[in-house]
Amino acid sequence: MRRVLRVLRVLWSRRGTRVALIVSALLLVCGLGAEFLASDLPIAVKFRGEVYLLPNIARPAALRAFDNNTLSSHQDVAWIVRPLCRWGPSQTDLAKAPPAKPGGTHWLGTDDRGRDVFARVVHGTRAALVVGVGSVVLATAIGVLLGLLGGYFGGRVDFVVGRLTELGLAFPSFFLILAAVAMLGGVSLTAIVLVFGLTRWMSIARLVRAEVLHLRELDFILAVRALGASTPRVIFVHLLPATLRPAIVSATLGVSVAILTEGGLSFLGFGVPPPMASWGEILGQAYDHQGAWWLILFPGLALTVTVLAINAIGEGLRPALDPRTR
Amino acid sequence: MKLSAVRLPPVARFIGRRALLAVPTLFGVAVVTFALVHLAPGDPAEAQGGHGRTPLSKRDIEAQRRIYFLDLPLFWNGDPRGVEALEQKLLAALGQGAKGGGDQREQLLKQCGTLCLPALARAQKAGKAGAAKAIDAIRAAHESLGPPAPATRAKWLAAVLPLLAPQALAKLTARAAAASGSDEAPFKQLTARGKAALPGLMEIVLDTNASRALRKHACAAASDVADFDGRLDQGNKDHEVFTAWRAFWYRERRDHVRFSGSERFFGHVTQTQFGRWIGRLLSLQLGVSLRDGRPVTRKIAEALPVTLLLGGLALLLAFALGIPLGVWSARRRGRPLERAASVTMFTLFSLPSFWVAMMLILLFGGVGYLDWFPIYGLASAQHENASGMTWLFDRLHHIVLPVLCLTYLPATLVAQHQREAMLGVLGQDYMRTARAKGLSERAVLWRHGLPNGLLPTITLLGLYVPYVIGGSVIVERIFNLPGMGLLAFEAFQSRDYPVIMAVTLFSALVTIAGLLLSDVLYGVVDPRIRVGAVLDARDSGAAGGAS
Repeated sequence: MRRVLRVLRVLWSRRGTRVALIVSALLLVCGLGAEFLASDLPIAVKFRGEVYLLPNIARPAALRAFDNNTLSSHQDVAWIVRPLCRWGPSQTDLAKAPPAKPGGTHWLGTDDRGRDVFARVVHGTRAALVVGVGSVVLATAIGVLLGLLGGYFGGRVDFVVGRLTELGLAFPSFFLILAAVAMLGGVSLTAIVLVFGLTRWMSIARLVRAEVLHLRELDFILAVRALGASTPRVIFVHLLPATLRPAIVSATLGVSVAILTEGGLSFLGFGVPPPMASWGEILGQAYDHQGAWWLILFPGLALTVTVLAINAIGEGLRPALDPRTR
Repeated sequence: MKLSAVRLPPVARFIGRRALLAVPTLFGVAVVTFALVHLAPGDPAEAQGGHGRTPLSKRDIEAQRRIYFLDLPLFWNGDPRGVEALEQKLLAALGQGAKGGGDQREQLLKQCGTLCLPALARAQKAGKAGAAKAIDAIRAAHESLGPPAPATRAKWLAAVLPLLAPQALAKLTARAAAASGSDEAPFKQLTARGKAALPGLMEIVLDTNASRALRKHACAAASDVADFDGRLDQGNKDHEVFTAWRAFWYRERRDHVRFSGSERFFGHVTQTQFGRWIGRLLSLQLGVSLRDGRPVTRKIAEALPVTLLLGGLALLLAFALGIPLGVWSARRRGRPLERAASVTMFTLFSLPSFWVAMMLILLFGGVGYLDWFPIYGLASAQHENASGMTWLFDRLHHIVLPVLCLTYLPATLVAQHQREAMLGVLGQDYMRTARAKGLSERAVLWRHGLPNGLLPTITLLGLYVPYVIGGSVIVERIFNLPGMGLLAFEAFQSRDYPVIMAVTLFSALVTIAGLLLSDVLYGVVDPRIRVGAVLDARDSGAAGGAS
């Protein structure tokens, strides 16, 4: 924990990474609290004498027929606390022919089905974060495990791990992901996370293996073994924490790659299942509505800012984690 | 001389080792694609009914299943048999008597024709019910083969069976193959003998050494005999007809011949869905597109030049821009302008290419603001047939934006790598020596610094080859350029299985070739070859190039 705090302090001390940290925190807030920023139902409302708390998340049956707009003008509503934006990500508004320009209550316009772009951008954060973080966690787990085994045991195990890694690196991953997603038909978010995770562990495995090769010759491992520690204990208690350092930078950069790839997939129409919001999906609609600049600018900015922030943190972690600069 | 005494040059040994590595990788990709096809909901044959195509009839589904070998076991065939399997199916159908299954019986009888006549004759002798009727049906279809109608069935059989014996057929086939192109008579006789003559005819059809006239006769005769039309004279291109025959025979042969011992032995593995599929890949039979029925190889051959042109130009530009930029920024490290440049590059590195493409279209494509560049396709309709400069200018005009989209990312990566490499070089002793002997700063940098700093960057070249293929999907889709990327995209969208498999395998091949190229380049520029060095370089530079 203290180590994490120290790294955060190093990141905070530099202007570039401080901005990146703030942006990432905002993204996390956006992803976790998307319903409070944009939802078709209020955060709290007193309706027909009854108080509903968090209907935007609980979605009570009594309010099923209503949304922020109908509730606001409803005579039975005593008071109402609305989210920042009154539109939900899947709610359609066909008052103006979609896609409508930014204006009125639609701050960033609507998409080609009349859904609010702001709401969809906010909720798209969730898809990006789940794919980015989820796939990287999976990839890191696979990569660290294989790297540890290959590096520690050497010999035949290392040979197998090495060949597996080279095989994975030579795989045309983007095509394979596209093929998998296209062939499996409507995929879930979990499937995307799985496919991404399974195609991106190689660089981490290589890094960890190299680190283990170096570490296992050091005295502290010899000492631990002389004290009678079992092999699993040596690997997972003593080697694992030490090897995470090089893996973390690679993993952080991997998050942005995964988010970009998800964006590309969704852009092509093979991404998260509808009606889930995704930045790439909004951008993809602009392909059929050329000139609808709000469909291009805002999700693109969200994507770029996210990737920039994560890349900046990744680059910043490099010196922050380097023992030589301590 | 012992084999170990043959010393290959290190680079050659290196290439050999890497090329060997390609084999398991390609096999792995093939397995994965195969698994994907079989994981897909519904089988490929049924899936073709969806996605806006008219649903297939039951018969067509059956035919499609055969094309994907779905009637075979997946990985292990316990009892691989040739025509015997068909015979047994027929006899089983006859055994059902009048209870139904008449349609299936009809179909099987049609499929067997004279091929199963010997088996039927034996069954009749053994007193099998329905065999006599089946023989009569075949006799009706092949009346000309034996003595005319008043003759009894037994007499007809006695006359016909010797004609269908393997030796007799082989003899006749040999006569046909030896005949000059103008002699149609042996082919007429083979045609009269029906399905049983097909194996012999196919030998001639697929014999690349035979004359065209001979193969033409064989194609015509085979078309008469088989449920497949592939004549050489209907305005079809020759090689397309032969390719179609080859695919047909690869599929249907097992129902027409008796397997030899070795065939039966290896049949446990080869007569399976997976075995047949791998075999088809190895013989480069990639099939035809489900969208338009054109051969996949042809479609790839048409799409590849477009992608190569775009990718080649983009890489050329990326290196041409990135190398000087990297040298410059290493030289001016820390100055305000260089800091601004590196922040810009860092930003560029984070931009998603599809967003850049859409923004460029919005700004310069005439949909919102400036109308500077065309955004659709490779050429304008009115300049399609123009000559010389107009044509060239039109083409260049069309690819400016796409090439820009493909260039900016590799360019920033090249610049970054070049910068790192140059920073390493600038502190070296030989640079100081060069300066000390009175060379100008420019000469020191470009003559002594750059050649050494260039090495790591050169090896990036091979790593961007897969990037070009992968990145082309998005850019070609956005700008509607008929290259590999668009071909892949459309195939993915319509689940065009043959094209998906071919394109995926092709991209695997290209990825491997790219890795091999960078390894070789590494070996050439740096004699201290180290296995895996390139892969390490790739790890550190792969973050942005992956999508």
